[in-house]
Amino acid sequence: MNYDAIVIGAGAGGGIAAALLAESGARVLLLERGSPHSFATEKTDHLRNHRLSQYGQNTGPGPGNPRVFVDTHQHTHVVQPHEGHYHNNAVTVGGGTVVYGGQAWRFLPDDFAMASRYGVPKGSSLADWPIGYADLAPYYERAEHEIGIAGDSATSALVWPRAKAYPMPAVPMTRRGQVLRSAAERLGWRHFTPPLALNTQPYLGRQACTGCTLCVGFACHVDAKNGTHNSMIPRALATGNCTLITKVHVLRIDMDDAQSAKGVTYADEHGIHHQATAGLVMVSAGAIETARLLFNSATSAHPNGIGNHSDQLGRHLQGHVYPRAIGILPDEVIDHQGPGVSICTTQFNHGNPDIIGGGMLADEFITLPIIFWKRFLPPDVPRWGKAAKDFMRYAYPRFIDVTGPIQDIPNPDSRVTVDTAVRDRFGLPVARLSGTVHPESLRTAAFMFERAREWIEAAGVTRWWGTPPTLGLSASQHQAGTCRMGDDPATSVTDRWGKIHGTRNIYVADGSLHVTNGGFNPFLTIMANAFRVTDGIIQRGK
Amino acid sequence: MFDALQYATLRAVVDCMIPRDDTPGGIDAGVDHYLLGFLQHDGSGFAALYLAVLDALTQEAQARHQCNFADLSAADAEALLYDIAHGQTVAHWPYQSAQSLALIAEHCAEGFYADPRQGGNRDMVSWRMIGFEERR
Repeated sequence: MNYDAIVIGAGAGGGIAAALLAESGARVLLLERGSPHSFATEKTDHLRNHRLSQYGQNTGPGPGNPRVFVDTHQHTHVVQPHEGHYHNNAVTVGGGTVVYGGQAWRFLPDDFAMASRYGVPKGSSLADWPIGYADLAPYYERAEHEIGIAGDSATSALVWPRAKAYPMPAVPMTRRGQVLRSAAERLGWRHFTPPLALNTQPYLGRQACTGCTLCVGFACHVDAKNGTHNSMIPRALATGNCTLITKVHVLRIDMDDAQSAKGVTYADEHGIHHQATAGLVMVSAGAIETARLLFNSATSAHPNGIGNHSDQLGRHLQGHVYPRAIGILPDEVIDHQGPGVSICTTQFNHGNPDIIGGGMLADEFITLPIIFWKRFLPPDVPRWGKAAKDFMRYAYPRFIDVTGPIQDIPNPDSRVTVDTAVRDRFGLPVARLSGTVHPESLRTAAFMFERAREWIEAAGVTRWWGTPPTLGLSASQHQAGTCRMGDDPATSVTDRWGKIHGTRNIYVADGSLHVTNGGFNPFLTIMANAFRVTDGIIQRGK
Repeated sequence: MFDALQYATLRAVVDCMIPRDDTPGGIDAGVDHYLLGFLQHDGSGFAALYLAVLDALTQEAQARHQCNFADLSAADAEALLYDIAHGQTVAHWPYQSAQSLALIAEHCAEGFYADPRQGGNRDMVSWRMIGFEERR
């Protein structure tokens, strides 16, 4: 079949690209590895979801899709999708936006100019984006309104230059949030309720959030959590111009000549190969799988992979490390008010003494009891016996925790390559993940851990615990950076419009493009950039 | 997969790891049943470890108290598990004893604190205990 455009991956980026292209009149083929996932197919299994995937998860990928992970001792491991070192992103229609918590952050102006502001630390690949906040601001606004974000417009306008208010008011504050609000005021820290991608009132034809206690990690039971699955992808399909095919895996981009893609070859769930042709190919498979597809699409003209002309493809892989301080208050603060996160501070994203960047801090989504047991117990509390039970009984209703993503300082050795010795179920080399965060990231994390501890101590905890993050690879659900944008082909994979250098019609629109990943959850930036990249294609095509 | 003695030992381990006090414990929550299902599905890779641990616990109890583990008082059972977790063993432990008990404790917690749809946490007893509501 022939199309105007093929979009690979129906997640945060691809869902937006498909919708805008289809609405512009282009005939679009949207290819997705996963199946649709909704509350109707949600098993709400506390051990197999995207917050805790102990033995499996509620979306894909399924069996036959291993990766290779290289640990800090340079030992290699073949890992499965539910294992932590796989660094999975939800594989389903809508991608991670179906099951995320939905913290809908704009990056700050300085986040686009990290090298200019801080210099380039040794061993890092810290660089400025080729665009600035002002270039993205109109598209942040579009994402906020067309996806549906609820936030505190007045306070956030003090943090970011903002032309238009959020379309919905922020979520109500929980009891934990109230305690932390008083503490922030005592500390003199600016605080507000984080913007979230959910309906606090009926919006875009769907109802308001019910405040249930199962949010992050699961599909929403009333479809009030907003992602591309219930906004942009339905819009794409409503045009009649977009064909969505699920449960298909794109094997390679097919080239017409050295500069032009003619389409893609993909396999269906039975392993049967299909070909589709198009005038434009958009890769939106997430930072790890986008890089893998470009590696696996090598040709004689692109012997090391499409976009790998300067050995940049797959490098600068980054996500976020999260310092976390946990404590117990004297009185119970549990109030069963979902989604749970209701207060944050951006006081420490920049301007910290002798620290490069910083990060946002917020309270936590409602924590499942088994997650509390596995991740939040202090190291000195026994894991069995009466003392273990007593601690759970006492601590769970009284705990608060403060955490947040710190701005990773990227480095070229944190990377995706492909491993020809390990193959997926279609016989393709799998993604190989190696490297660790830059030491500066750990220094920032240690600094932010102290701020988190300071906040919960000011809130009156009777004891606190937690440790700053240690050396390891950072990617996971916030994976970014593997096809960085830039004006110089020697140091980047795509140009500022997401078009791969040296190609005529191959684009990227997902977190891969991020030069740096901010001290915030990145999905709104992925979305805004997908709006910008796709809008650029449409405007230039006119 | 377990004979009667092994299953009795398993129940006694569950009872020791999550004891009943003024609120229900692991046996009340059906954690032993959860483990049986778990070991036949996602936990099948742990079956050999469980068999070895349960047999070793019989030997430890016989050596110290001349009875089976399941027949120990709660205090003796807890003290014995505590010693084993700190490396004081007399029997042959084909898997490292402290790690084995830590792993079983984690599986018991999964059965006790995860959702009842997985076969444990009967009547949501653990959630009632800590004040968690799964409210949709």
